[in-house]
Amino acid sequence: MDDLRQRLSRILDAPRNLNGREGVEQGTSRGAALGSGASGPWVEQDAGGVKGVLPSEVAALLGAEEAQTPFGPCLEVRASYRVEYRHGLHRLCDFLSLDLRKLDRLCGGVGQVHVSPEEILFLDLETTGLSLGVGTWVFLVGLGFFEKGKYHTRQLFLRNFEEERALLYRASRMMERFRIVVTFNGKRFDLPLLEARLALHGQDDCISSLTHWDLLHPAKRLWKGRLEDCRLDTVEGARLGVCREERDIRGERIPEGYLRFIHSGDASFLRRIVHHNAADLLTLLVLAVHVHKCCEDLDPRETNLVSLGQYLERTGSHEEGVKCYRIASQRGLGQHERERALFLLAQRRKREGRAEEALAAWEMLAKEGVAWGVAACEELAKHHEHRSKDLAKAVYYVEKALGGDIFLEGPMRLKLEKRLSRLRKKVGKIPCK
Amino acid sequence: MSASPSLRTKKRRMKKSDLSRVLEQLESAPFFKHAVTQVKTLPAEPGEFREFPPELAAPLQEVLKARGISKLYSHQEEALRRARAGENLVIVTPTASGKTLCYNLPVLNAVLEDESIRALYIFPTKALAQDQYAEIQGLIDGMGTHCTAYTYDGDTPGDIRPVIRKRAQIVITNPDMLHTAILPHHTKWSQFFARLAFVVVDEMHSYRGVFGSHMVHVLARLLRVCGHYGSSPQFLFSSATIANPEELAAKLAGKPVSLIRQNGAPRAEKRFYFLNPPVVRPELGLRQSAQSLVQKIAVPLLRKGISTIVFATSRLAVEVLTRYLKEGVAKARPKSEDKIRGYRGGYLPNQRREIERGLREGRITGVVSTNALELGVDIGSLEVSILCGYPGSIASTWQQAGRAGRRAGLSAAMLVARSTPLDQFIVRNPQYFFGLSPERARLNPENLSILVSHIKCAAFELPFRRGENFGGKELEAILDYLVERRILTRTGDRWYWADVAYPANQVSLRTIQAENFTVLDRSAGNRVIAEVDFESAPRSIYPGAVYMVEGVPYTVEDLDFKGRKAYVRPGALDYYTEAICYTHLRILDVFSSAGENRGGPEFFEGEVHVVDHAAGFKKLKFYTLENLGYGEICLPDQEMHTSAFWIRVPEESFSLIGLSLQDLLQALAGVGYAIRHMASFLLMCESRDLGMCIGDPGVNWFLREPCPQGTGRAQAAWAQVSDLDLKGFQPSLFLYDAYPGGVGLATTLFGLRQELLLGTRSMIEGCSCRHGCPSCVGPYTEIGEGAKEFATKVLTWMISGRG
Repeated sequence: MDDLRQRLSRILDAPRNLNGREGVEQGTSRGAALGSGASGPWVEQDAGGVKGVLPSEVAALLGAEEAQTPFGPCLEVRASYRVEYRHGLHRLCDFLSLDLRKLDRLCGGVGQVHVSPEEILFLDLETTGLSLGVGTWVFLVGLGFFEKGKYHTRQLFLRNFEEERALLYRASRMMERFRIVVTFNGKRFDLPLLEARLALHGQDDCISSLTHWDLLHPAKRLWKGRLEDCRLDTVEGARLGVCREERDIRGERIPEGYLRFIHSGDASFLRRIVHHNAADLLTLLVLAVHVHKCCEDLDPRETNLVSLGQYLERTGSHEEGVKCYRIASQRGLGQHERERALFLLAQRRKREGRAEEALAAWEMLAKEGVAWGVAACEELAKHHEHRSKDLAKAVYYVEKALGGDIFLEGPMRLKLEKRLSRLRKKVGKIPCK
Repeated sequence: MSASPSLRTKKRRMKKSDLSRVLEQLESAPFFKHAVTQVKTLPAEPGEFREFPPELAAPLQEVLKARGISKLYSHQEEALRRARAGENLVIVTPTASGKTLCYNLPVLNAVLEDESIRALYIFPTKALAQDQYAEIQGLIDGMGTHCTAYTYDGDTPGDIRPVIRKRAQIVITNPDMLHTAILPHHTKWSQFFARLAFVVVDEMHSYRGVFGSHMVHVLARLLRVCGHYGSSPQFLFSSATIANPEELAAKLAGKPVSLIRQNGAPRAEKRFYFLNPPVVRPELGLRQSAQSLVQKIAVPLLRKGISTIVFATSRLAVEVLTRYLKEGVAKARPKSEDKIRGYRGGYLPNQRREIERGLREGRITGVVSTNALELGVDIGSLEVSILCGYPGSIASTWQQAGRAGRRAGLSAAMLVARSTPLDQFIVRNPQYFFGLSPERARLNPENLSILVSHIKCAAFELPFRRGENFGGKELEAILDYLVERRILTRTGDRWYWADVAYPANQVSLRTIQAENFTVLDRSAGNRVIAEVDFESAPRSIYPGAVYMVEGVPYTVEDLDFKGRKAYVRPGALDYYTEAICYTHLRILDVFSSAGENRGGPEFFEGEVHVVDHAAGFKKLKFYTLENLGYGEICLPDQEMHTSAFWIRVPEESFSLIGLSLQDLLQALAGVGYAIRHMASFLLMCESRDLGMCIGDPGVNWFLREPCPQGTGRAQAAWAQVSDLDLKGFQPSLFLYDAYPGGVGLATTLFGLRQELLLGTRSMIEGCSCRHGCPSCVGPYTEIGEGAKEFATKVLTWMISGRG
């Protein structure tokens, strides 16, 4: 037996230098992430029998109630917020006055939903890892919703792994009455993971019938190139005016913090994790408000109106898209963005057959454009060759494009040269006006 | 697969007479005649046929008839009948006996009866899976009924994966994919697993050694997951000839499996030649190299348009031979060198597919390959198969020989021996080879390191319950230990996964672990021309190395070790390079020991830390192998912990053995040379799976090889030793698993030590040379003139404990 233990310890500690990969895994999965040194604290706890909490004490520690289900008990932390409560820049009640159909469109829907705010569920999970494999546990299901004039949060906490079935059952029952679920990156992570857990327990899928608003995607569009990344904490710090409190915990430390509780009963991180999740549920709400607001304000300093405009145009809201392009072409961040917006505006008008407006935009770009001048010249050449049949002008713009940018390379130059030679042939055939 | 009687067969019949005429010419050529040690003609056999059984569904009968198949071979009919009765089966019949129908018929028949049934096909490689997909899709298309088969591997686009999981009736994959992607995400496959009725494992013989030990656990995990969803699939294995198919299949399936081995397929005549290259310098026991004999045989065959496959035992040998054959053929007919190609792992997938297609369509007449083409990749049927060196096992030999000649027409296989001990043994004892005693496929699922990895993976997939049967009686002890290590947690009678990691990513089923190097051609805008696995990098793509792709030499200019890239440039070079490597080793722990007799040998088994150091390389001229110079290699050492078996010569026994220290070291070098071959022979592993090292870790002294000057290793070694304080000098001979963590080879050797020593001694004694040659203790010019005599002496002492 001791022999086996010794051999096991050698295997689990062995540095696999041959590839280095396993060594790295060992390093990151043990300790370090919690910032309290590698294996040190763990050993201490074993020796000293640290103040672990008894399972019966967890409820009190978290201020949770024990909810009963057919599959046993499940811990639930409940909280309610007055709708006047301010989380960063916005108040919770700001959500109640939003145009939900517009929000639906911004989240990839067709804007035909008829829902009341009470039918919308905000969802955020805390898990023991980032993979979607079956070994990743969902240990905290955070749900937020409006009811009777208040915003309520319900957090289902997994006290031990045996209670998972009860937790999932309770979560499903609670989700039943909603029609829309709002998440951040739920499309790739939260919802598939929850589906996997339900499938594991053979429970009904309560998710696929819900309309899903994943705020990650509108956030990416709105702040493309404006933020260093699109993580929730970056967004809330930079755009929502939300500042995490002392008693919060950084997201990447959460799995370790929870597993520490599972292994040793050390609950020192649990309250912070539950707090973090509750704050996420508020942030989700005000993020929805802010996304909506940005699409109303159309402030080119804050919002990337080019990518928003493209999205609106692609989803059929042409005039709203044009509006974005117009504002961006005048007040967008940087020359490149302004020119791009103007060009996109022209292309839209061209498609609609409104040649005048398109021409004006192209001509302006051809005259002053830096990055989009060549493309505008090409469009002008096309226009004059095929529409106005003014070949001289067409030749003029092709030559301008070729001459204007000496660094013009590759396919674009070839394309223009081809066009030029064709135009010259045409000009030769038709007597000049 | 059964070929349709088509023009191809007709053409082959014409060629048949060609081949027999060419063979006659060859047999009368003196160089060939003198090298042959045995010719065995395997006569044509008519085959045994059965009518379609009534339970074979009509659409299947039709598709077979459309292919010109009106009857089944007896083993196909037997497989169909017994699979239908619910038996787990392993089918062992030779190459080209229509083996795939043995599992495709029962599976498709069942799917036609009940469309909700699911089947999982597992092939050892992605390429084989693709091949078999084409095969089964062909049958399905012909049936004209709806049935869906898909491959599911790393190349499957993300957007069609959900469709496959939900709809596919037959999913074709590989063990790695099952291990890292399917099982850890089994909830996505819940419907598939709930209805899984068949697990088909083709090329079962390839699951031996390390790979096989992993595979046992991967399949056990598969069955756990199936159990969770309430299914209990039936296993259909197919395998090349090995000694213990039922045992191996039962280990893999975790339950008894019955055997079908009566081959009912007809067979055409085949001639099997055993050739030993002539001794060129009798005084040294030196033979002509196998490569040059192969070249002498293959070039005239290829010039006459006889389709030929040459198997070589290393990647380097493939490249050198490809070059020789291209040049040999081009001499007679310029510009025909495109008809000769190389083939090995490391070529890019597209290139490999193109070569396979070329072979099938007859555009390529000759191919030189590693064992990569030994498995069932479809390359059509060739006329001659030449094995340049014994591939290491009888099963592989039959597989490789079977690449020539499929159903009709004469074919030939030729085994050309190298001067290694094992090759010489085989070529001198062909009766052993034909005596129908193929090796046992050994695997060691008890290997603790492998077992623990898979217990982690299994716990990630589903919690363990008390009383579960996984990997033997130690399970609960291991689970509890993992709880202590805070990887699992235990609540009541269950053990749950409780770690942030994704354990399947930490375990590679194959010995190749780290990211491959890519080889980029600077002269072609850094085009990727090949891949090199991590372990071989220090031996093949060090700066200054000549790296060959299809026989074209490239010089390595720079190696970006971190970025895993090697930059090369083609050049007209007349030499290639070979790395010189040293091994050092430290003993970490001793698990068991034996041999308490005073003055006798001491045997140990335990764990060691091995450091491989590539010190330099030599440049060898093509054809003459003349040494053109040396270069240095400055690359990081490769280190690993692994298990080892070693024999220590205690100080007090020196006098008992009756050899001076110098002679003793010479003897150990000789024993080490031979014992490694005998060990890999006993274990049915490849000799590169075992590392060998001689030295005394206590004083940090190790024998170096190969010695650059060729002045005799032991003498040089003596020079180093004499500088040491000899008090307490106790040299040992180490054999270790060339795989991090070890895979149980060394442990098995410890148990087999007597058999190993006796076998090694009789191998050395049975060699006809006087002082030692490459076929026993190594060439005496390198190892010292007394090597053979001294080695026998030391072995006798090791066996009996007396001098």
